[in-house]
Amino acid sequence: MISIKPTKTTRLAYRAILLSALLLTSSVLTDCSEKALDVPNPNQLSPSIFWRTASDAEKGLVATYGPLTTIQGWGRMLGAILTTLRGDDVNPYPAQEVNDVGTFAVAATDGRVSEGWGELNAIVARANQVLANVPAIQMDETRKKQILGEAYFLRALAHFYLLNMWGNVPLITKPVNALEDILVPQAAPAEVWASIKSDLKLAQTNLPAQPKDVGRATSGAATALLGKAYLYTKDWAAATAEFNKIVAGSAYKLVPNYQDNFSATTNNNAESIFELQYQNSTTGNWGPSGTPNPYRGQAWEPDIAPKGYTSQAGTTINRWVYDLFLKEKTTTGAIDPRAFATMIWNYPGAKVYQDDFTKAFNGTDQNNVWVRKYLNFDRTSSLTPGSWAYATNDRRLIRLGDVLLMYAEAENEANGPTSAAYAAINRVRARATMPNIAPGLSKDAFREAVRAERVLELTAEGDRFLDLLRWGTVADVFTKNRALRSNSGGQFQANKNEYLPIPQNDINTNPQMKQNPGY
Amino acid sequence: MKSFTPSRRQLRWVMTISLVQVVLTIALMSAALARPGKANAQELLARRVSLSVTNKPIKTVLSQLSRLTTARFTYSSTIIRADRPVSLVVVNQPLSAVLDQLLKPFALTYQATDQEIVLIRAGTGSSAIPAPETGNPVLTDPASRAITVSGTVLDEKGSGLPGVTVLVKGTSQGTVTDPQGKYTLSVPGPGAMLVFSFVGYLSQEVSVGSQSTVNITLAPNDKILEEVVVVGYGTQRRANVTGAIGSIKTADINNITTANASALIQGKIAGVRVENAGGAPGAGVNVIVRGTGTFGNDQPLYVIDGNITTSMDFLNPNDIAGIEILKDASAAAIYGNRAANGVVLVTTKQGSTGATRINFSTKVGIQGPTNRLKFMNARQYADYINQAADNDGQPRAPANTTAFDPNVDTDWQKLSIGSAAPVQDYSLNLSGGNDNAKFYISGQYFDQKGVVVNSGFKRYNLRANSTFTKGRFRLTEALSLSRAVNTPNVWWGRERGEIPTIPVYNPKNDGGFAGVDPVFNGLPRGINWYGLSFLNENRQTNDQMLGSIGAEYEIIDGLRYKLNLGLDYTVGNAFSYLPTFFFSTSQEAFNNISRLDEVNIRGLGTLVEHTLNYGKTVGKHSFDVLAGYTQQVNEFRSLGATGADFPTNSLRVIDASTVRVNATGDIQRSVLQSILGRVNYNYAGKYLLSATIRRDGSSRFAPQNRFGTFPSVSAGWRISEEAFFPKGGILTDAKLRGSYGVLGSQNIGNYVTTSVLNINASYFFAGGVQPGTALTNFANPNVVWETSKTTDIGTDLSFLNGAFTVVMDYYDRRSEGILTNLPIPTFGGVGASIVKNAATIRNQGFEFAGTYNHRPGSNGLKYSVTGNFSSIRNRVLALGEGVSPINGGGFTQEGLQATRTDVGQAVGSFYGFVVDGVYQTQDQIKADGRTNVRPGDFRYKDLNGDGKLNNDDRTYLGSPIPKFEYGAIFNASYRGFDLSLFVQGVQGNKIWNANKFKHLLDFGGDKLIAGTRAWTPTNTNTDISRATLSDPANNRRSSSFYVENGSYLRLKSMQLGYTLPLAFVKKMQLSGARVYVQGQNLLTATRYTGYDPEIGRGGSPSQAAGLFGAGVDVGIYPQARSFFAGIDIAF
Repeated sequence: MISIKPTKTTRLAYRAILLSALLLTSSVLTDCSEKALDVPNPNQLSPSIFWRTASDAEKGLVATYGPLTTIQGWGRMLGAILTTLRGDDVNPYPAQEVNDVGTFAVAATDGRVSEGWGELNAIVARANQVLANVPAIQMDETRKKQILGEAYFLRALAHFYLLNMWGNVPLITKPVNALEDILVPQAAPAEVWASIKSDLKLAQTNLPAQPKDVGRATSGAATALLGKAYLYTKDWAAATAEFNKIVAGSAYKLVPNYQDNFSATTNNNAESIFELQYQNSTTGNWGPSGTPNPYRGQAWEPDIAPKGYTSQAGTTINRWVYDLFLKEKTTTGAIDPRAFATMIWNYPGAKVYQDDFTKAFNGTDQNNVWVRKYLNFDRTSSLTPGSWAYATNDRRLIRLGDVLLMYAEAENEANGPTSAAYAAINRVRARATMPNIAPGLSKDAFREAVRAERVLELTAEGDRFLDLLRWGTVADVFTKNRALRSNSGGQFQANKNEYLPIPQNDINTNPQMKQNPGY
Repeated sequence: MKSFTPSRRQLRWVMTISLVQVVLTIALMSAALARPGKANAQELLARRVSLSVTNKPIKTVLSQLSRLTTARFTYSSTIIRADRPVSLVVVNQPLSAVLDQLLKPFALTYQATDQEIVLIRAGTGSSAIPAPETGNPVLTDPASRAITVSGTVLDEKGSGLPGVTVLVKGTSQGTVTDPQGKYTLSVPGPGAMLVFSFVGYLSQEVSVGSQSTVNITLAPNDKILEEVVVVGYGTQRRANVTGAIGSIKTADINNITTANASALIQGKIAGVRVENAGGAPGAGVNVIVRGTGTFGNDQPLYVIDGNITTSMDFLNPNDIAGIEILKDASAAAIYGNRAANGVVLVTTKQGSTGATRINFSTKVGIQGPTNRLKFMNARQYADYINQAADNDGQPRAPANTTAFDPNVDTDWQKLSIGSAAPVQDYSLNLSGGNDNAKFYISGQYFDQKGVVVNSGFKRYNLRANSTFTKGRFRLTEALSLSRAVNTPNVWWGRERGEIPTIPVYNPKNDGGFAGVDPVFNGLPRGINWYGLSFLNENRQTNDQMLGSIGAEYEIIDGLRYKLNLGLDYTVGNAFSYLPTFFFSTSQEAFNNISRLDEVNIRGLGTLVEHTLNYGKTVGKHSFDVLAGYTQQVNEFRSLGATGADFPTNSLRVIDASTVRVNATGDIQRSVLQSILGRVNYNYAGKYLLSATIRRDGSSRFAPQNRFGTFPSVSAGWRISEEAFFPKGGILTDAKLRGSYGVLGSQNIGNYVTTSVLNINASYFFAGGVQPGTALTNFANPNVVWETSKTTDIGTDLSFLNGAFTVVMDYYDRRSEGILTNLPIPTFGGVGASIVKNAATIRNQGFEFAGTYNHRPGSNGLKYSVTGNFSSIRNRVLALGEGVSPINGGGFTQEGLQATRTDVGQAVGSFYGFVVDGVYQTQDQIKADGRTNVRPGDFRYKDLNGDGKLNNDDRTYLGSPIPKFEYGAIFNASYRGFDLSLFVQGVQGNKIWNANKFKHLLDFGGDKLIAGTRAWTPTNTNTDISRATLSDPANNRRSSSFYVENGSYLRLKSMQLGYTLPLAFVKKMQLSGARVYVQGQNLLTATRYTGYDPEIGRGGSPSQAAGLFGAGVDVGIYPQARSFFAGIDIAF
C-alpha cells in the first residue's frame, strides 16, 4: 500500500474519480440518444407494408366480407332491426329505442341506424382498397380475377342496401386516404344504380360458379343480384334475362322442405344462392368487423322472438298475413306448410320453442300470431341454450325461391303473364304443396298473385319493406292501416319513413351531406 | 323533489342553519389527533411549556410539568425534599430550559431516558450555586443590593407587548409583562442579566447595571418560518416558496383508515378534489387537482421518494412522512409534459439518530353501510306491477296475482349489505441509526372486508428505507414491496334488479339459487345477481416493487451532483371464473359453459436522473440552481387467455379448459427524455424569484412533434421584510406571490399517431374463420401533448407570530389543445372520428387554507384547527371546429345518457328535459301535442316554446362538480387524552340519481317505496309518474327527475385516544402505549336520497364510469360507517 498524504490535490483527484465512477455507472444505464424515442408499434401492422403479396390480397378481401355477419351487420341490425322489423308483415312492440326503426319513431341519432350504415360502408371502403391495390400484386392471375370479382360483388351488395334503405348515399369507389376523400356530396341514385350494375357485371364475369370456400360470392350470386338490381330499377327485360340464367339453369334447386331454408342443419343447401355464414361463438365480443373475435352468430333472434322468450319486447306477425296463409289450402286440404315455418299461433299442438303455446302465453297474448321463421326451436328459448349470439342458422340473403318470384314478377311486367311466369310462381307453390294459381290471370291480377306469393314465401325475411317501397305502396299501406303497428301505436309518416335517416354524425361532419326528408 | 328523501327528517337542522355557517363553526371547533406519548427523550425535553407558580412545593411543580409534557420524574428524597417551595414563571420554554431553571438553585441536574427524567445531583465542578437548604430557593437572598427594575417591552412596531417573560438569568426569578407590556421585577443586584423572551420573537438579554428602568424592543424570530417543504427535485424553505404547494402533515395523514392511500388526501388540501368511487375496499380513487382540464386522464402525476409513477395506492399509509401537492405551473413545471394535472409528491419515513425504536400498531374495526334505500316489500311490489300491467293493457303475471306466495318476501338489499364487515390492520416498524447511517423498516398487513357481501381487499407491504453518509458522499435508498389482492363483488347493485317475490335459494338449480321464471313472474329478465356474486369468482392481484437509489456527491461546497435510479416493477393478475349455473331461462340467467378469463400484466419502469445543484449566498443575494437530465422508460406486457367448458367448476386453471377460446397480449412501451433546470433567487429574503424550464421528448408523438418545452416563472415579495411593514401587529408575516407557466399532459396512450391495419377483420366461411386485414381507423400524426397555462396569485400570511397562518390562492388555468375526437363521416368506412388537439377548458378557482395552533396554556390543553376551502369554476371554452358535444354518463342498458359536455358548460354537465309535474288530464296532453301519453305520465317543459316536445327542449341541469368544497381538522390533547375530528364537505353539485330509473321506471327489479305514491286516477297529487313497464310516453328519458342536490357535510372521522401513564407502561416493559377508538363517516348531512353522496366516477362495471360519468349514481357501492379500536405500542 502506498500511503498518500491527503493534500488538496489528492482530495480533488479522489472527488473526480468518484464523480466519474458515478457518471460512468449512469451512462451504462442511460441511452442518451434521441433514438430511444423511436418506439415503433410492436402490436399492429403498418399500412405501408401491406398489399404486397397474394396473402395480403386474400386478407384484404376477407376483411371486405367481415362486416356482413357482425351484430352491426346482418348479425342483428341489418338482419332484423333495420329490415324485417320495418315490414308490414310484422308488428314490433316498442322497446326503448331498440325498435324505434320498426315503430317509425327513429331519429337521425339512432345508434342502430348508424351501426348498419357503418358496416355497409365499411364493406364499400374495404372493397375499394382491394380493387385499387390487388391489381398490382404479383400473384396467380386466375385467383386475382376472382378476388376482384368478389370485391365487386360485395361493393355492389353494400351499395344496393345502402341505396334502397337510405335513398341518398355518397358513391365512393376509390380508397380513402385522406379526410377530403370522404367529404363528398351524395350521388344521384341513378349513378349508384349504374355503379351497382357495373360492379355486378364485372363480378359476374370474374367469378366462378363454384366458390373457393362455401360462403364466397359466385357468378350465380352476382347474376341474381344483378337481376334484382334491374328489377328494382324496373328494367324488366334485363331483369328477366338475368333471372332466367338462374331459373333455367340447374345450379340451384328448391329444397323439398321449406323449413330447410331457415335451419342450421341445412345451411348452404341447394336453394341458397348467397348465404351469410354464421359462426357459433360462446366467448365473442360485441363489436363491428375489426373487433377481435366478434360475435358472428344469428343474433337477431331475440328481436323477433315471442314475448317472454326474448330480452326485447317481442314482435308479432300481423293478422292479415295470418289470414292470407289460411285463405288457401294445400292440394291435400291442409294449411300451407310455410305457415308453420313462418308463424306461431294457437293451433293444436303449437309450440313456442319447447313449450306448449297455451302454457307459454297468458291472456290476450294467446290471441297473437308470433314469428317462427329463423327461430331455433331446438332451444328452450331464444336465449337458450347458451347466449343469444350462438345460433348458426345462416341468413339466406338470396335464395332460389325469391329469384323465381322475382323472375315471375319481371316477366309479367315485361311480357305479361307468360307461361314462363306461371311456371316460376307455380314452382314455388308446388314445393309447398300448394295448388297452381288460377290460369288466365290478367297482367294486374298476376302481379297481385306474385305479390301475395312473396308474402307467403318471404315473410319475415327482411325484403318486405323494400318490396313495398319499389312498388310505391309503402306509404299507403302503413298510413291506411294503423293496426299494422298496433303493438306500438307507431305511425308511418309519408315522405319520411320510406327511408332511414342519414346518421346525424355524417350530416354534422360532412357539410355537403343532406338529410333525408322529414328527419 | 318533494318528500322523496328518506333521510330528510334527520337533516332538517342543516337547512335551518346555512351550511356555510355550520362549516365555519365546525372548522373553528374541530380536530384531528395529536399523538403525544410516543416521544423519545429528546422530543420530550424539547416540549414547550408555560407555567406560573409561586411558592409551591417542588413536588407539585414537577407533577404539573409531568402533566404538561407527559414526562415522568423520578427522584430520591435524599436529594431534595419534595415539599421544597419554589416559584417559577416560564412561558413557552422547552422542558429542558425549565428544568435547568428549576433545578439549578438546588445544585441538581437530570438525566432523561425515553419518558422518564431522573433528578440527580449536579456533578463536581458544577458552577451551580448551591441553594440554601431552607426557604424559598428563588426569592431567597434578599441581598441589600437587591434592586427593583421596571420597564416596558415593545414589539417591532413600538406597541407594548404583553405576556413577555422577563427572567433574571440563571434563576427562575421572573415575571410576565402586563397588557401594556409593562413589568416590574426585583433583581439580585446590578450584575444581573434580564432575559426577555416571547414566542415568535428573538430573546434578548440586557444587563441591568445601575438602571432602574429597562425598556426594550423585541425583534420577531423568523425561525417559525423555517418549515421546509418538498418540491420537485429538492426541498425549499416554506418562506421562500413562490408556487402553490399544499402539504399534509404526518399527524393528519392517518386519521382515515382506507385501503387506498390517495383517499387520505380528501378534504385536506384546498383545490384538490378526491372522489371516492363509493365505499368498495380497494376501489379506485380519483384525485383532481384544480379541476378537470382534459377529456382524457385527469389524474395527477405521483412522485414517491423521487420515483415517478401513476399511483400511491400501494403505499402503507403509516410509512408516509408527508404529502405535498404541486398545484400551480411554477411548482409543477419541473415535471414538464406530465404535470398538467398537478403533481403529488410523497415522502416516506426515514430513520432518525438514536436508539433503535420499534413501534407496533394494530387496529380492528367493523363497518356497515352509511345508508340503505327503502324498497317495496313483496306485497307492495306485486300491487305496483299489477297496476303497471293494467296500465299497459298487459295480463297480470301469476306470481303477482293468483299464485302470489305470501311466504316469499325477499329483501335483496339486506342480504347484500346486511352484516357488519371487519377490518384488520397490523403494522410494525423499526427505525434508528447514527450520524452516518439511518434505517426505517416497516411491514403492514391490511385486510378489509366490504360492507357488500363477497367483496374484500387485502394488502401486504414491506418497506426498507435507509441513508448512508460518508464525507461528501451520501446514499439514500427506498424500497417498497407490496401486494394488493382485491376481490370485488362486481354484481353489486344488480342484485336489486331481483324482485322480492322470488326466494333466494332453489337447491334444485345448478348453483343452488333461485331465479325468475319469465312467464310466471311476468318479467323477461331477472337473474339472481346475489347468487351470481357467490358463484362468480373475481380477483385482482397486484404486486409492485418500487425502489430508488440516490447517490449524491458534494463536489465543492454547495455543488452537489446526484444520480437517482428508480425502478418500478409491477405484476398484475386479473382472474375471473364464471361457473355453469342455472337460475332460470331468462336472459343471461343461466350459463351452460363455464369460462375463465385471466390476464397477466408485467410492467417495468426505469428512471435515470442526473442532477446538479448549486446553492450559494453572497451578501444579500441567495441563489439555488438546479440542472438535470432524465430518462424514463416504461414497458407493459400483457398476456391473457380465456378458456371455456371446464369438466368441473372446481378446476379453475386454463389447462383444465376443454376449449381455449381466446388469447390476448400486447406491449406498451414509452420513453421520455428530458432536460430540466431551475433557478431560485432571493434578495435578502425579501424579493423571491424562481424560474423553471423542462424540455421533454416523448416517444408517444411523431418525430416532428416530439419535443416540447415547458417554462414557468414565479415571484414573491415578503412585504413583512420591508422596513415600512409595521412590526408587532397581529400580522407578523406576509408574502405576496404570483406565477405563470406552461405545463403539458402526454396522457394520450402509446402509438396513437400512426395508422395501423386492423388484423381482426376476419370472416367465417363454412370451412372456418379466415383472417382479414383492413384499415379501420385514421390516425392523426399531428397529435401533440395537451397544454395548460396557469396563472396563480397567492398570499401567505402569518398572524400572532405564527399561531394563525393563512394561505390563499386564486388561479386561472387554461388547458388548450385538449384531445378530442373529431367526428368524421362514417360512410368513409374508416371509423367515426379522428383524434385532434382541439378543445379548451378553463378552470378558475379560489383557495383558502388556514391553521390555528393554540399554544398550550398552563392547564396543558393544546389544540389546533386546520381548515380549507376552495371554489372552482370549470368551463369548456371550445371543443374544436366540427366537434359535437360529448355525451356520456350512460345509466341504462339501453344507453340513456346523463351528461353532455359542450362549450360554455362544465365538463360532464347533466343534460335532459325538465319535468313539469305529471299530466292530470287528456286535455293537457292534447294541448301539448304529445302522443302515446296518458294522464300520470311526466309532463316536460317546452323550453323553446315551439309547441312541440323534442330533443330541442333539453337543457343543462347542473354539474357534478361542486361549487365549493371544504375540510377541517381539529386536533386537541389534554393530559393523556387526545381527540381528533375531521369534517369534509362539498356544496353546489348535483347527482344524477339513476336508482330512480332502476327502481321506478325500468322494468325488472324491486321498486323504491316512492313507487307506492305513483300517479293513479285516485292519487293525483304526486310527483311520481304512473306505473308502467312498457313506458310508451318515455318517462324514463333523461330529465330533471333524476337530478338531486349532491351537497353534503360529513364527519369523516373522529378519534379519541389515551396515552397510558408511563409508570404503568414501564411495568409492561414498554416505552410507550396509546389506545384509541376511531369512527369514520359517523354523521352525514345531505339531502341526497341515494346510498351516499360520494359518487365519484365509480359507475357500475358497465355503466357511467369515467370522466363523463362523474356524479351519475347507478347504485354506487355504499360508503362504510366504521368503528375501530386500536393500540400503538413502542418498545
